[in-house]
Amino acid sequence: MHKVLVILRKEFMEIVQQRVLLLSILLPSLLFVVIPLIFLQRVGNGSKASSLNVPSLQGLTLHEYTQGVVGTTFSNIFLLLSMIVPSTIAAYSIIGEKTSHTLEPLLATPVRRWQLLAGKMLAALLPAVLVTWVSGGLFIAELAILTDANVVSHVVTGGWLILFIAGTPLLGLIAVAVMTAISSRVNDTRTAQQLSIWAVVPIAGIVLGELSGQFELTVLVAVIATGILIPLAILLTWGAAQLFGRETILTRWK
Amino acid sequence: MNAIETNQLTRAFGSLVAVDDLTLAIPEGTVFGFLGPNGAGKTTTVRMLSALIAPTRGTATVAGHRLGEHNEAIRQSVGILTETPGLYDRLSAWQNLLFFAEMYDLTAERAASQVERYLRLLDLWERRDDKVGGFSKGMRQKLAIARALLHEPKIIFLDEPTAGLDPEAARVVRDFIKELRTEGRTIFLTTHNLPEADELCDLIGVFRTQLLRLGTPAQLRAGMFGSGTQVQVVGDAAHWLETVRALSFVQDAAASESTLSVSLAHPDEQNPALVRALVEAGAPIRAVEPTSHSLEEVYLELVESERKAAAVATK
Repeated sequence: MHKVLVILRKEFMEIVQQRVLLLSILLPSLLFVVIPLIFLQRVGNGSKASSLNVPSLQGLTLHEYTQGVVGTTFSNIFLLLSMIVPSTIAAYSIIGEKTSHTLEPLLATPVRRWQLLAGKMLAALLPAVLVTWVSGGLFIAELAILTDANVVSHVVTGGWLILFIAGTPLLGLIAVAVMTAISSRVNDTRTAQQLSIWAVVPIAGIVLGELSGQFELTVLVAVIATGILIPLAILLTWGAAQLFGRETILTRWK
Repeated sequence: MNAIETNQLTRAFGSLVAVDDLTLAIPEGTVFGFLGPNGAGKTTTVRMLSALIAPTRGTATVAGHRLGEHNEAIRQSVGILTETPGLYDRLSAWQNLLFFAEMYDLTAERAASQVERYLRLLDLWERRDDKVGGFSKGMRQKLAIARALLHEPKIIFLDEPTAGLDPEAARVVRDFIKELRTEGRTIFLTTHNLPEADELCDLIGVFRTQLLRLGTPAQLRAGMFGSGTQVQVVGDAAHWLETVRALSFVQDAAASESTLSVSLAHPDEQNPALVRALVEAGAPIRAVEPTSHSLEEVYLELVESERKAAAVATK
Protein backbone atom coordinates (compact mmCIF):
# COMPACT_ATOMS: atom_id res chain seq x y z
CA MET A 1 0.00 0.00 0.00
CA HIS A 2 2.94 2.30 0.75
CA LYS A 3 3.96 2.37 -2.91
CA VAL A 4 0.43 3.26 -3.98
CA LEU A 5 0.64 6.28 -1.68
CA VAL A 6 4.10 7.18 -3.03
CA ILE A 7 2.74 7.09 -6.59
CA LEU A 8 -0.33 9.08 -5.53
CA ARG A 9 1.83 11.76 -3.92
CA LYS A 10 4.00 12.02 -7.03
CA GLU A 11 0.92 12.23 -9.27
CA PHE A 12 -0.61 15.00 -7.16
CA MET A 13 2.67 16.92 -7.18
CA GLU A 14 2.62 16.76 -10.97
CA ILE A 15 -1.07 17.70 -11.24
CA VAL A 16 -0.64 20.91 -9.25
CA GLN A 17 2.26 21.90 -11.53
CA GLN A 18 0.09 21.76 -14.65
CA ARG A 19 -2.07 24.85 -15.03
CA VAL A 20 -3.92 23.58 -18.10
CA LEU A 21 -4.81 20.37 -16.32
CA LEU A 22 -5.93 22.22 -13.18
CA LEU A 23 -8.10 24.44 -15.34
CA SER A 24 -9.57 21.37 -17.05
CA ILE A 25 -10.44 19.92 -13.64
CA LEU A 26 -11.82 23.03 -11.98
CA LEU A 27 -13.43 24.99 -14.80
CA PRO A 28 -16.22 22.52 -15.74
CA SER A 29 -17.18 22.02 -12.09
CA LEU A 30 -17.19 25.77 -11.52
CA LEU A 31 -19.37 26.32 -14.59
CA PHE A 32 -21.81 23.62 -13.52
CA VAL A 33 -22.21 25.44 -10.20
CA VAL A 34 -22.37 29.01 -11.55
CA ILE A 35 -24.62 28.50 -14.59
CA PRO A 36 -27.58 26.97 -12.69
CA LEU A 37 -27.14 29.75 -10.13
CA ILE A 38 -27.83 32.31 -12.86
CA PHE A 39 -30.64 30.30 -14.46
CA LEU A 40 -32.42 29.55 -11.18
CA GLN A 41 -32.35 33.24 -10.21
CA ARG A 42 -33.60 34.53 -13.54
CA VAL A 43 -36.08 31.81 -14.40
CA GLY A 44 -39.67 32.93 -15.03
CA ASN A 45 -42.79 30.91 -15.76
CA GLY A 46 -41.12 29.31 -18.78
CA SER A 47 -43.67 28.11 -21.26
CA LYS A 48 -40.98 26.20 -23.18
CA ALA A 49 -39.92 24.36 -20.05
CA SER A 50 -43.52 23.52 -19.21
CA SER A 51 -43.93 21.85 -22.56
CA LEU A 52 -41.42 19.21 -21.41
CA ASN A 53 -42.96 16.20 -19.77
CA VAL A 54 -40.66 15.41 -16.88
CA PRO A 55 -42.38 12.71 -14.76
CA SER A 56 -40.43 13.51 -11.58
CA LEU A 57 -41.63 17.14 -11.65
CA GLN A 58 -45.36 16.48 -11.74
CA GLY A 59 -47.41 18.40 -9.19
CA LEU A 60 -45.30 21.60 -9.20
CA THR A 61 -46.49 25.10 -10.06
CA LEU A 62 -45.41 26.49 -13.43
CA HIS A 63 -42.62 28.58 -11.84
CA GLU A 64 -41.43 25.64 -9.71
CA TYR A 65 -41.70 23.35 -12.71
CA THR A 66 -39.41 25.62 -14.73
CA GLN A 67 -36.91 25.72 -11.89
CA GLY A 68 -37.25 21.96 -11.62
CA VAL A 69 -36.36 21.48 -15.30
CA VAL A 70 -33.22 23.62 -14.85
CA GLY A 71 -32.37 21.75 -11.64
CA THR A 72 -32.93 18.29 -13.13
CA THR A 73 -30.84 19.09 -16.19
CA PHE A 74 -27.88 20.30 -14.15
CA SER A 75 -28.22 17.62 -11.49
CA ASN A 76 -27.59 14.99 -14.16
CA ILE A 77 -24.66 16.95 -15.56
CA PHE A 78 -22.84 16.22 -12.31
CA LEU A 79 -22.89 12.57 -13.28
CA LEU A 80 -21.11 13.59 -16.50
CA LEU A 81 -18.56 15.55 -14.48
CA SER A 82 -17.46 12.40 -12.70
CA MET A 83 -16.40 11.01 -16.06
CA ILE A 84 -14.92 14.12 -17.65
CA VAL A 85 -12.49 15.00 -14.84
CA PRO A 86 -10.82 11.60 -14.26
CA SER A 87 -10.43 10.90 -17.96
CA THR A 88 -8.63 14.24 -18.34
CA ILE A 89 -6.28 13.50 -15.43
CA ALA A 90 -5.65 9.92 -16.62
CA ALA A 91 -4.84 11.13 -20.12
CA TYR A 92 -2.26 13.62 -18.83
CA SER A 93 -0.85 11.10 -16.37
CA ILE A 94 -0.43 8.06 -18.62
CA ILE A 95 0.38 9.81 -21.88
CA GLY A 96 2.66 12.15 -19.93
CA GLU A 97 4.65 9.15 -18.69
CA LYS A 98 4.83 7.78 -22.23
CA THR A 99 6.04 10.95 -23.88
CA SER A 100 8.60 11.73 -21.17
CA HIS A 101 9.88 8.11 -21.26
CA THR A 102 9.47 7.73 -17.50
CA LEU A 103 7.54 4.48 -17.69
CA GLU A 104 10.55 2.23 -18.25
CA PRO A 105 12.56 3.43 -15.22
CA LEU A 106 9.37 3.21 -13.18
CA LEU A 107 8.68 -0.33 -14.37
CA ALA A 108 12.28 -1.25 -13.57
CA THR A 109 11.57 -0.67 -9.87
CA PRO A 110 10.12 -3.50 -7.78
CA VAL A 111 6.62 -2.03 -8.08
CA ARG A 112 3.81 -4.49 -8.64
CA ARG A 113 1.30 -4.12 -11.44
CA TRP A 114 -1.64 -3.55 -9.09
CA GLN A 115 0.30 -0.92 -7.13
CA LEU A 116 1.13 1.05 -10.25
CA LEU A 117 -2.39 0.73 -11.62
CA ALA A 118 -4.00 1.60 -8.28
CA GLY A 119 -1.74 4.64 -7.88
CA LYS A 120 -2.52 5.89 -11.36
CA MET A 121 -6.24 5.20 -11.16
CA LEU A 122 -6.70 6.69 -7.69
CA ALA A 123 -4.75 9.79 -8.73
CA ALA A 124 -7.35 10.37 -11.42
CA LEU A 125 -10.34 9.15 -9.47
CA LEU A 126 -9.94 10.85 -6.08
CA PRO A 127 -9.78 14.45 -7.33
CA ALA A 128 -12.66 13.70 -9.70
CA VAL A 129 -14.90 12.33 -6.97
CA LEU A 130 -13.93 15.17 -4.66
CA VAL A 131 -14.63 17.83 -7.29
CA THR A 132 -17.91 16.16 -8.26
CA TRP A 133 -19.16 15.81 -4.69
CA VAL A 134 -18.08 19.32 -3.65
CA SER A 135 -19.57 21.02 -6.72
CA GLY A 136 -22.68 18.81 -6.48
CA GLY A 137 -22.98 19.78 -2.83
CA LEU A 138 -22.75 23.44 -3.76
CA PHE A 139 -25.40 22.90 -6.42
CA ILE A 140 -27.76 21.34 -3.86
CA ALA A 141 -27.07 24.25 -1.51
CA GLU A 142 -27.87 26.87 -4.13
CA LEU A 143 -30.97 24.91 -5.12
CA ALA A 144 -32.08 24.93 -1.47
CA ILE A 145 -31.43 28.68 -1.17
CA LEU A 146 -32.96 29.80 -4.46
CA THR A 147 -35.95 27.47 -4.83
CA ASP A 148 -38.75 26.16 -2.68
CA ALA A 149 -38.32 22.97 -0.69
CA ASN A 150 -40.88 21.46 -3.05
CA VAL A 151 -38.51 21.92 -6.01
CA VAL A 152 -35.52 20.58 -4.06
CA SER A 153 -37.35 17.41 -3.14
CA HIS A 154 -38.35 16.90 -6.78
CA VAL A 155 -34.81 17.42 -8.11
CA VAL A 156 -32.69 15.88 -5.36
CA THR A 157 -34.54 12.60 -5.35
CA GLY A 158 -33.49 9.37 -3.70
CA GLY A 159 -32.66 7.95 -7.10
CA TRP A 160 -30.43 10.87 -8.02
CA LEU A 161 -28.67 10.78 -4.63
CA ILE A 162 -27.88 7.09 -5.03
CA LEU A 163 -26.32 7.72 -8.44
CA PHE A 164 -24.59 10.87 -7.22
CA ILE A 165 -22.99 9.19 -4.21
CA ALA A 166 -22.52 5.57 -5.31
CA GLY A 167 -22.60 5.93 -9.08
CA THR A 168 -20.11 8.76 -9.61
CA PRO A 169 -17.04 6.85 -8.28
CA LEU A 170 -18.04 3.92 -10.50
CA LEU A 171 -18.52 6.18 -13.51
CA GLY A 172 -15.14 7.75 -12.74
CA LEU A 173 -13.52 4.34 -12.55
CA ILE A 174 -15.07 3.38 -15.88
CA ALA A 175 -13.78 6.61 -17.44
CA VAL A 176 -10.24 5.98 -16.11
CA ALA A 177 -10.26 2.39 -17.38
CA VAL A 178 -11.44 3.52 -20.82
CA MET A 179 -8.81 6.27 -20.85
CA THR A 180 -6.10 3.76 -19.88
CA ALA A 181 -7.04 1.63 -22.88
CA ILE A 182 -7.05 4.65 -25.17
CA SER A 183 -3.77 5.99 -23.75
CA SER A 184 -2.04 2.73 -24.58
CA ARG A 185 -2.72 3.36 -28.25
CA VAL A 186 -2.30 7.11 -28.73
CA ASN A 187 0.46 9.55 -27.90
CA ASP A 188 -1.23 12.88 -27.36
CA THR A 189 -3.72 13.94 -24.75
CA ARG A 190 -6.07 15.75 -27.14
CA THR A 191 -6.63 12.66 -29.29
CA ALA A 192 -7.18 10.57 -26.15
CA GLN A 193 -9.74 13.02 -24.82
CA GLN A 194 -11.54 13.20 -28.15
CA LEU A 195 -11.84 9.42 -28.21
CA SER A 196 -12.93 9.18 -24.58
CA ILE A 197 -15.79 11.59 -25.14
CA TRP A 198 -17.77 8.61 -26.44
CA ALA A 199 -17.75 7.13 -22.94
CA VAL A 200 -20.02 9.94 -21.68
CA VAL A 201 -22.67 9.41 -24.37
CA PRO A 202 -24.67 6.90 -22.24
CA ILE A 203 -24.85 9.46 -19.42
CA ALA A 204 -25.98 12.15 -21.87
CA GLY A 205 -28.66 9.65 -22.85
CA ILE A 206 -29.88 9.50 -19.24
CA VAL A 207 -30.21 13.31 -19.13
CA LEU A 208 -32.12 13.46 -22.41
CA GLY A 209 -34.21 10.40 -21.57
CA GLU A 210 -35.37 11.91 -18.28
CA LEU A 211 -36.08 15.34 -19.76
CA SER A 212 -38.04 13.85 -22.64
CA GLY A 213 -40.20 11.87 -20.24
CA GLN A 214 -38.91 8.48 -21.34
CA PHE A 215 -38.23 7.37 -17.77
CA GLU A 216 -38.03 8.62 -14.22
CA LEU A 217 -34.85 8.29 -12.16
CA THR A 218 -36.50 6.47 -9.27
CA VAL A 219 -34.65 4.69 -6.46
CA LEU A 220 -35.24 1.38 -8.23
CA VAL A 221 -33.82 2.70 -11.51
CA ALA A 222 -30.78 4.11 -9.66
CA VAL A 223 -30.18 0.83 -7.79
CA ILE A 224 -30.42 -1.15 -11.03
CA ALA A 225 -28.10 1.32 -12.79
CA THR A 226 -25.58 1.08 -9.93
CA GLY A 227 -25.90 -2.71 -10.07
CA ILE A 228 -24.98 -2.59 -13.75
CA LEU A 229 -22.13 -0.12 -13.19
CA ILE A 230 -20.40 -2.29 -10.55
CA PRO A 231 -19.60 -5.30 -12.79
CA LEU A 232 -18.93 -2.97 -15.72
CA ALA A 233 -16.38 -1.01 -13.66
CA ILE A 234 -14.79 -4.26 -12.44
CA LEU A 235 -14.63 -5.67 -15.96
CA LEU A 236 -13.11 -2.52 -17.44
CA THR A 237 -10.63 -2.18 -14.56
CA TRP A 238 -9.57 -5.78 -15.14
CA GLY A 239 -9.10 -4.94 -18.83
CA ALA A 240 -7.00 -1.91 -17.90
CA ALA A 241 -4.92 -4.10 -15.56
CA GLN A 242 -4.16 -6.42 -18.48
CA LEU A 243 -2.83 -3.45 -20.41
CA PHE A 244 -0.67 -2.40 -17.47
CA GLY A 245 1.69 -5.38 -17.46
CA ARG A 246 5.38 -4.55 -17.90
CA GLU A 247 5.68 -6.70 -20.99
CA THR A 248 2.57 -5.18 -22.59
CA ILE A 249 3.60 -1.60 -21.87
CA LEU A 250 7.13 -2.07 -23.22
CA THR A 251 6.34 -4.17 -26.24
CA ARG A 252 2.77 -3.42 -27.31
CA TRP A 253 1.97 0.13 -26.31
CA LYS A 254 2.43 2.62 -29.11
CA MET B 1 31.08 -15.85 -8.84
CA ASN B 2 29.18 -14.60 -11.84
CA ALA B 3 26.91 -11.58 -11.53
CA ILE B 4 25.06 -12.46 -14.71
CA GLU B 5 24.73 -15.84 -16.38
CA THR B 6 22.59 -16.57 -19.40
CA ASN B 7 22.02 -19.83 -21.15
CA GLN B 8 20.57 -19.82 -24.68
CA LEU B 9 18.55 -16.74 -23.82
CA THR B 10 16.24 -15.98 -26.72
CA ARG B 11 13.53 -13.43 -27.34
CA ALA B 12 11.31 -13.28 -30.39
CA PHE B 13 8.61 -10.78 -31.29
CA GLY B 14 6.33 -12.79 -33.57
CA SER B 15 8.54 -14.08 -36.32
CA LEU B 16 11.30 -11.57 -35.59
CA VAL B 17 14.06 -12.95 -33.39
CA ALA B 18 15.64 -10.04 -31.51
CA VAL B 19 17.99 -12.07 -29.29
CA ASP B 20 19.07 -15.53 -30.32
CA ASP B 21 20.74 -18.12 -28.09
CA LEU B 22 22.69 -15.73 -25.90
CA THR B 23 24.99 -17.63 -23.59
CA LEU B 24 27.11 -15.43 -21.42
CA ALA B 25 28.83 -15.27 -18.04
CA ILE B 26 29.84 -11.96 -16.51
CA PRO B 27 31.93 -12.21 -13.33
CA GLU B 28 31.13 -9.95 -10.38
CA GLY B 29 32.87 -6.59 -10.43
CA THR B 30 33.31 -6.59 -14.20
CA VAL B 31 32.61 -3.70 -16.51
CA PHE B 32 31.04 -5.51 -19.43
CA GLY B 33 30.74 -3.70 -22.75
CA PHE B 34 27.86 -4.85 -24.90
CA LEU B 35 28.56 -3.61 -28.40
CA GLY B 36 26.42 -3.90 -31.47
CA PRO B 37 24.78 -1.88 -34.22
CA ASN B 38 21.36 -0.25 -33.85
CA GLY B 39 18.60 -2.86 -33.80
CA ALA B 40 21.01 -5.60 -32.76
CA GLY B 41 18.88 -6.56 -29.75
CA LYS B 42 20.94 -4.86 -27.03
CA THR B 43 17.99 -3.08 -25.41
CA THR B 44 15.90 -6.24 -25.55
CA THR B 45 18.71 -8.09 -23.77
CA VAL B 46 18.94 -5.42 -21.08
CA ARG B 47 15.16 -5.49 -20.64
CA MET B 48 15.22 -9.27 -20.23
CA LEU B 49 18.09 -9.19 -17.75
CA SER B 50 16.40 -6.49 -15.68
CA ALA B 51 13.20 -8.56 -15.56
CA LEU B 52 11.18 -6.10 -17.61
CA ILE B 53 10.26 -8.55 -20.34
CA ALA B 54 10.33 -12.32 -20.36
CA PRO B 55 12.54 -14.44 -22.60
CA THR B 56 10.87 -16.66 -25.17
CA ARG B 57 13.38 -19.39 -24.41
CA GLY B 58 16.49 -19.96 -22.32
CA THR B 59 17.43 -19.14 -18.75
CA ALA B 60 19.29 -16.44 -16.89
CA THR B 61 20.52 -15.77 -13.40
CA VAL B 62 21.00 -12.16 -12.38
CA ALA B 63 22.62 -11.31 -9.03
CA GLY B 64 21.99 -14.89 -7.97
CA HIS B 65 18.26 -14.76 -8.76
CA ARG B 66 16.63 -16.87 -11.46
CA LEU B 67 14.91 -14.84 -14.14
CA GLY B 68 11.21 -15.65 -14.27
CA GLU B 69 11.17 -17.00 -10.72
CA HIS B 70 12.48 -14.12 -8.62
CA ASN B 71 11.85 -11.13 -10.85
CA GLU B 72 11.12 -8.76 -8.00
CA ALA B 73 14.41 -9.67 -6.32
CA ILE B 74 16.19 -9.02 -9.63
CA ARG B 75 14.58 -5.58 -9.93
CA GLN B 76 15.68 -4.83 -6.38
CA SER B 77 19.27 -5.89 -7.18
CA VAL B 78 19.79 -4.00 -10.41
CA GLY B 79 19.85 -0.34 -11.37
CA ILE B 80 19.05 0.75 -14.88
CA LEU B 81 19.90 3.82 -16.92
CA THR B 82 17.58 3.73 -19.90
CA GLU B 83 18.46 5.12 -23.31
CA THR B 84 16.54 8.34 -22.59
CA PRO B 85 16.88 9.66 -19.02
CA GLY B 86 13.09 9.60 -18.44
CA LEU B 87 12.66 12.15 -15.67
CA TYR B 88 9.63 14.01 -14.41
CA ASP B 89 10.26 17.48 -15.81
CA ARG B 90 7.79 19.27 -13.56
CA LEU B 91 9.35 17.90 -10.40
CA SER B 92 12.62 19.01 -8.85
CA ALA B 93 15.78 16.89 -8.84
CA TRP B 94 15.14 16.12 -5.17
CA GLN B 95 11.51 15.11 -5.77
CA ASN B 96 12.47 12.92 -8.74
CA LEU B 97 15.08 10.99 -6.79
CA LEU B 98 13.04 10.76 -3.61
CA PHE B 99 10.14 9.24 -5.55
CA PHE B 100 12.35 6.53 -7.04
CA ALA B 101 14.16 5.90 -3.75
CA GLU B 102 10.81 5.12 -2.16
CA MET B 103 9.80 2.96 -5.10
CA TYR B 104 12.94 0.94 -4.35
CA ASP B 105 11.64 0.36 -0.80
CA LEU B 106 14.09 2.66 0.96
CA THR B 107 12.79 4.03 4.25
CA ALA B 108 12.02 7.76 4.27
CA GLU B 109 15.17 8.51 6.26
CA ARG B 110 17.47 6.37 4.12
CA ALA B 111 15.84 7.65 0.94
CA ALA B 112 16.60 11.23 1.93
CA SER B 113 20.21 10.44 2.85
CA GLN B 114 20.82 8.49 -0.37
CA VAL B 115 19.28 11.24 -2.48
CA GLU B 116 21.54 13.79 -0.78
CA ARG B 117 24.60 11.55 -1.19
CA TYR B 118 24.17 11.10 -4.93
CA LEU B 119 23.13 14.68 -5.62
CA ARG B 120 26.33 15.80 -3.91
CA LEU B 121 28.47 13.12 -5.61
CA LEU B 122 27.22 14.14 -9.04
CA ASP B 123 27.49 17.83 -8.35
CA LEU B 124 23.76 18.52 -8.48
CA TRP B 125 23.19 19.42 -4.84
CA GLU B 126 22.97 23.16 -5.49
CA ARG B 127 20.25 22.55 -8.08
CA ARG B 128 18.24 20.09 -6.00
CA ASP B 129 15.14 22.28 -5.77
CA ASP B 130 15.10 23.25 -9.46
CA LYS B 131 12.66 21.64 -11.82
CA VAL B 132 14.34 19.01 -13.97
CA GLY B 133 12.72 20.46 -17.11
CA GLY B 134 15.28 23.27 -16.95
CA PHE B 135 18.31 20.96 -16.69
CA SER B 136 20.92 20.53 -19.42
CA LYS B 137 21.30 17.15 -21.11
CA GLY B 138 24.40 16.39 -19.05
CA MET B 139 22.66 17.23 -15.79
CA ARG B 140 19.67 15.09 -16.73
CA GLN B 141 21.96 12.18 -17.53
CA LYS B 142 23.76 12.54 -14.21
CA LEU B 143 20.43 12.63 -12.41
CA ALA B 144 19.29 9.49 -14.23
CA ILE B 145 22.54 7.76 -13.22
CA ALA B 146 21.95 8.83 -9.62
CA ARG B 147 18.46 7.35 -9.84
CA ALA B 148 19.90 4.01 -10.97
CA LEU B 149 22.20 3.93 -7.93
CA LEU B 150 19.93 5.09 -5.10
CA HIS B 151 19.24 1.59 -3.82
CA GLU B 152 22.92 0.59 -4.12
CA PRO B 153 22.38 -2.15 -6.70
CA LYS B 154 24.98 -4.86 -7.25
CA ILE B 155 24.48 -4.71 -11.01
CA ILE B 156 24.01 -1.57 -13.06
CA PHE B 157 22.77 -1.50 -16.63
CA LEU B 158 23.87 1.63 -18.45
CA ASP B 159 22.38 2.12 -21.90
CA GLU B 160 24.45 4.64 -23.87
CA PRO B 161 25.41 6.67 -20.80
CA THR B 162 27.39 9.32 -22.67
CA ALA B 163 25.31 9.54 -25.87
CA GLY B 164 24.70 13.14 -26.85
CA LEU B 165 26.76 14.61 -24.04
CA ASP B 166 29.42 17.26 -24.57
CA PRO B 167 33.01 16.04 -24.02
CA GLU B 168 33.22 17.52 -20.54
CA ALA B 169 29.96 15.95 -19.34
CA ALA B 170 30.93 12.65 -20.99
CA ARG B 171 34.22 12.70 -19.11
CA VAL B 172 32.43 13.25 -15.79
CA VAL B 173 30.15 10.28 -16.51
CA ARG B 174 33.07 8.07 -17.56
CA ASP B 175 35.03 8.97 -14.43
CA PHE B 176 31.99 8.15 -12.36
CA ILE B 177 31.70 4.73 -14.03
CA LYS B 178 35.37 4.10 -13.18
CA GLU B 179 34.60 5.01 -9.60
CA LEU B 180 31.72 2.54 -9.55
CA ARG B 181 34.08 -0.15 -10.78
CA THR B 182 36.36 0.44 -7.84
CA GLU B 183 33.37 -0.21 -5.56
CA GLY B 184 33.17 -3.73 -6.98
CA ARG B 185 29.87 -3.32 -8.77
CA THR B 186 29.12 -5.10 -12.01
CA ILE B 187 28.39 -2.74 -14.86
CA PHE B 188 26.64 -3.80 -18.04
CA LEU B 189 27.41 -1.04 -20.49
CA THR B 190 25.83 -0.78 -23.93
CA THR B 191 27.51 1.80 -26.08
CA HIS B 192 28.36 2.83 -29.62
CA ASN B 193 31.33 4.76 -28.34
CA LEU B 194 34.13 2.26 -28.96
CA PRO B 195 37.04 4.25 -27.49
CA GLU B 196 34.87 4.58 -24.38
CA ALA B 197 34.31 0.82 -24.27
CA ASP B 198 38.03 0.30 -24.74
CA GLU B 199 38.78 2.65 -21.87
CA LEU B 200 36.20 1.32 -19.43
CA CYS B 201 35.50 -2.33 -20.11
CA ASP B 202 37.20 -5.45 -18.74
CA LEU B 203 35.13 -7.74 -20.93
CA ILE B 204 33.42 -7.05 -24.23
CA GLY B 205 30.68 -8.85 -26.11
CA VAL B 206 30.07 -7.96 -29.74
CA PHE B 207 26.45 -8.68 -30.46
CA ARG B 208 24.15 -8.71 -33.40
CA THR B 209 21.08 -10.82 -32.54
CA GLN B 210 23.67 -13.44 -31.58
CA LEU B 211 26.85 -13.06 -29.59
CA LEU B 212 29.55 -12.73 -32.25
CA ARG B 213 32.56 -12.55 -29.98
CA LEU B 214 33.34 -12.37 -26.28
CA GLY B 215 36.63 -11.50 -24.65
CA THR B 216 38.81 -8.84 -23.10
CA PRO B 217 39.70 -5.98 -25.45
CA ALA B 218 43.21 -7.48 -25.84
CA GLN B 219 41.80 -10.93 -26.62
CA LEU B 220 39.47 -9.50 -29.23
CA ARG B 221 42.33 -7.65 -30.92
CA ALA B 222 44.56 -10.71 -30.93
CA GLY B 223 41.74 -12.95 -32.08
CA MET B 224 40.85 -10.70 -34.94
CA PHE B 225 44.15 -9.41 -36.20
CA GLY B 226 46.65 -11.62 -34.45
CA SER B 227 49.52 -10.22 -32.42
CA GLY B 228 52.63 -8.63 -33.74
CA THR B 229 55.28 -5.97 -33.72
CA GLN B 230 55.87 -2.83 -35.71
CA VAL B 231 59.45 -1.84 -36.46
CA GLN B 232 60.20 1.70 -37.57
CA VAL B 233 63.36 2.03 -39.63
CA VAL B 234 65.15 4.91 -41.31
CA GLY B 235 64.37 4.77 -45.02
CA ASP B 236 62.33 2.26 -46.98
CA ALA B 237 61.21 -0.66 -44.84
CA ALA B 238 60.68 -2.92 -47.87
CA HIS B 239 64.49 -3.24 -48.02
CA TRP B 240 64.43 -5.40 -44.84
CA LEU B 241 61.38 -7.49 -45.68
CA GLU B 242 63.32 -10.54 -46.85
CA THR B 243 65.49 -10.54 -43.71
CA VAL B 244 62.37 -10.68 -41.55
CA ARG B 245 60.56 -13.28 -43.65
CA ALA B 246 63.60 -15.55 -43.43
CA LEU B 247 63.03 -15.94 -39.67
CA SER B 248 61.21 -19.20 -38.98
CA PHE B 249 58.96 -17.81 -36.21
CA VAL B 250 57.61 -14.92 -38.32
CA GLN B 251 54.07 -15.71 -39.46
CA ASP B 252 53.74 -12.81 -41.88
CA ALA B 253 55.40 -9.51 -42.63
CA ALA B 254 54.51 -6.40 -44.62
CA ALA B 255 56.20 -3.10 -45.31
CA SER B 256 54.68 0.32 -45.67
CA GLU B 257 57.01 3.32 -46.13
CA SER B 258 59.34 3.17 -43.12
CA THR B 259 57.26 0.65 -41.10
CA LEU B 260 57.65 -3.10 -40.98
CA SER B 261 54.56 -4.91 -39.64
CA VAL B 262 55.48 -8.36 -38.39
CA SER B 263 52.95 -10.98 -37.25
CA LEU B 264 54.22 -13.06 -34.35
CA ALA B 265 52.60 -15.74 -32.23
CA HIS B 266 54.43 -14.65 -29.05
CA PRO B 267 55.79 -11.15 -29.54
CA ASP B 268 57.17 -10.83 -26.00
CA GLU B 269 59.40 -13.88 -26.50
CA GLN B 270 60.21 -13.40 -30.18
CA ASN B 271 60.90 -9.67 -30.33
CA PRO B 272 64.57 -9.95 -29.14
CA ALA B 273 65.43 -12.40 -31.93
CA LEU B 274 63.61 -10.26 -34.49
CA VAL B 275 65.45 -7.09 -33.44
CA ARG B 276 68.80 -8.94 -33.30
CA ALA B 277 68.33 -10.26 -36.87
CA LEU B 278 67.49 -6.81 -38.18
CA VAL B 279 70.44 -5.15 -36.40
CA GLU B 280 72.83 -7.84 -37.66
CA ALA B 281 71.54 -7.22 -41.18
CA GLY B 282 72.30 -3.52 -40.70
CA ALA B 283 68.78 -2.18 -40.41
CA PRO B 284 68.75 1.37 -38.89
CA ILE B 285 65.98 0.80 -36.29
CA ARG B 286 64.24 3.90 -34.94
CA ALA B 287 61.55 2.28 -32.78
CA VAL B 288 59.93 -1.05 -31.92
CA GLU B 289 56.35 -1.22 -30.64
CA PRO B 290 53.50 -3.71 -30.43
CA THR B 291 51.04 -3.67 -33.29
CA SER B 292 47.93 -1.91 -32.10
CA HIS B 293 44.43 -2.13 -33.51
CA SER B 294 41.70 -0.02 -32.11
CA LEU B 295 38.58 -1.66 -30.73
CA GLU B 296 36.75 0.16 -33.50
CA GLU B 297 38.72 -1.77 -36.13
CA VAL B 298 37.96 -5.03 -34.33
CA TYR B 299 34.28 -4.18 -34.05
CA LEU B 300 33.89 -3.08 -37.67
CA GLU B 301 35.74 -6.15 -38.90
CA LEU B 302 33.54 -8.45 -36.82
CA VAL B 303 30.26 -6.84 -37.78
CA GLU B 304 31.24 -6.68 -41.43
CA SER B 305 32.34 -10.33 -41.59
CA GLU B 306 29.10 -11.36 -39.84
CA ARG B 307 27.10 -9.32 -42.37
CA LYS B 308 28.87 -11.04 -45.24
CA ALA B 309 28.32 -14.46 -43.67
CA ALA B 310 24.61 -13.68 -43.22
CA ALA B 311 24.36 -12.56 -46.86
CA VAL B 312 26.00 -15.80 -48.04
CA ALA B 313 23.67 -17.85 -45.83
CA THR B 314 20.63 -16.04 -47.29
CA LYS B 315 21.75 -16.86 -50.86
